[in-house]
Amino acid sequence: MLRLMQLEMRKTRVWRSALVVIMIQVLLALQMLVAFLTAPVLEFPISQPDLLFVVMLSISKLVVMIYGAVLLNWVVLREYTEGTIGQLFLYPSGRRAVLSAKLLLIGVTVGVTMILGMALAGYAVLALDAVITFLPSRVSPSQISKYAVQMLFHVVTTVLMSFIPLVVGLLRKSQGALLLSAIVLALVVNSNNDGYSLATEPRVQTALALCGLLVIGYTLGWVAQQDVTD
Amino acid sequence: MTIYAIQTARLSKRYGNQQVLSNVSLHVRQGEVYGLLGAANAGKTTLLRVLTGLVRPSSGEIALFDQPMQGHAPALLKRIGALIGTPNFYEHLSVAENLDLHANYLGYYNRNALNDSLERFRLGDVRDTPVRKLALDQKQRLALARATFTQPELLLLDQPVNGLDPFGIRDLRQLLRQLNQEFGTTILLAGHLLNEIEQLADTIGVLKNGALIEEVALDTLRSAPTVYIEIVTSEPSRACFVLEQQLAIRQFRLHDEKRLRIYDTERDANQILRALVLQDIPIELFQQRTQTLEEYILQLSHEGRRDAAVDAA
Repeated sequence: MLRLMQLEMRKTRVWRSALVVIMIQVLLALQMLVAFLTAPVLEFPISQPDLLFVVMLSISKLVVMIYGAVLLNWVVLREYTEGTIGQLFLYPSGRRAVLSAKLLLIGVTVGVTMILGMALAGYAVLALDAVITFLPSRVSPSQISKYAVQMLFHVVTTVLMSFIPLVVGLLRKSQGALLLSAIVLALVVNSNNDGYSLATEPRVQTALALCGLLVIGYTLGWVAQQDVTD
Repeated sequence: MTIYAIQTARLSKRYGNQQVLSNVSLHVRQGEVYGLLGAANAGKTTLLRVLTGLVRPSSGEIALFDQPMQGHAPALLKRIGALIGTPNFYEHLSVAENLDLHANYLGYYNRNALNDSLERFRLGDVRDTPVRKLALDQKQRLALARATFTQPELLLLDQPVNGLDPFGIRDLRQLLRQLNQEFGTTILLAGHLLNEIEQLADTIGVLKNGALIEEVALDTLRSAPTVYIEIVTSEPSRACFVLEQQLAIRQFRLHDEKRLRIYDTERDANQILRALVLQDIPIELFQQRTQTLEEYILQLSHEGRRDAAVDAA
């Protein structure tokens, strides 16, 4: 499996794009923070660390879910649209193994990108707070641990739910359909109303993550059975 | 005992209402070059896809190297090189990267193989060029380089000369002969170019509307009995008179103004020639003709399965 993942990485240099996505998360988080801090009337008490965490989480989720769709397009769907899947399935590795390696690579990349993006954004916010104090008190190590655990839960659910658009893309063999469905899903998942955000609602996140798992299972089965023609 | 590299039994494939393959029973002996002939949409590409597991058959059985192929068969796939349909590559990667990736997927690690393959297919100059910048014939050569890279035991080539220039076709022919003769590679060549297949194949199979209507060794065809006697004369009417009245031959036809064909092949050709000469009929050409592959294929296409025709007779 590791060998297949390495071969996938030679075809699509995902880590370069991952670096860009990490930077985007940090910049968006900082931009959001600055926008809140410079607003004449604070609609939400952004100075509360919990709320700050939710904002950063929403930004990261939104960005990496769209990034996940881009990776699904590059790593999986493009094999179908460009016709290279036929050659790939002629290799002795087997269809399920090849696809599993692709999905695992995407999952790991999305997960690591989200963790590093949020960690760097959090570090940047704390560094900024040290210069222009806006948090009521210093964030304690126990608070950081609490956020880390919450983040891990959200990383796992986000990674799994970012596979949901794959079923649309594969069935329609359309890059546009894949990206559009990912954007719609990301917007729905991160929607909030009067401070209530779906991005932090564990039941919704868990349900969507389970949907992602189902999509993975369905896709593995579908790919194994599907005839490969031009 | 004959060992078959490919053997299928009543292989069929149906897409909805469309029957693409119909009861195909193919026999490709190990070490031979098998030419699979058929017009466009005869089912050649689908048959190759079925043989490699890309397409699942609706019914029937497949055995490769005398081992039944059921579902995914990694051990068998490792022994096969294939060029099926339009060759596709990772266009943003270079020629060398594409071949290296192919070797890695197959677990084939031979340091010299890459350079040898690039040289053999005249791709050395473009080794670091992204595939998207290659011309059509270069892509076809790359596809052939990929199919033959690991010197597989069985080579499945679908329209391999497509897009190749005359030099490329000549090189390919030489390479296939070399692979077949030196390494014993079994080759299945699918296409519609009779001339190309005739030059290489030991056996041909004719596919029509998804059905394999004939499988015959080319040697059998070459040693086939005379099909007709062709006579070219400036006095065809007198010749016809001699054939009909003197020799009592009824099965002949005036093909054009000067050309006669006698289909009564049991008659002694010397006797016919002697009779014509004795009547002072000027003979420009007197030839016993066997059927060419092209004529044979065309006849099959019109008549359908030969044994069926014989049975009916």
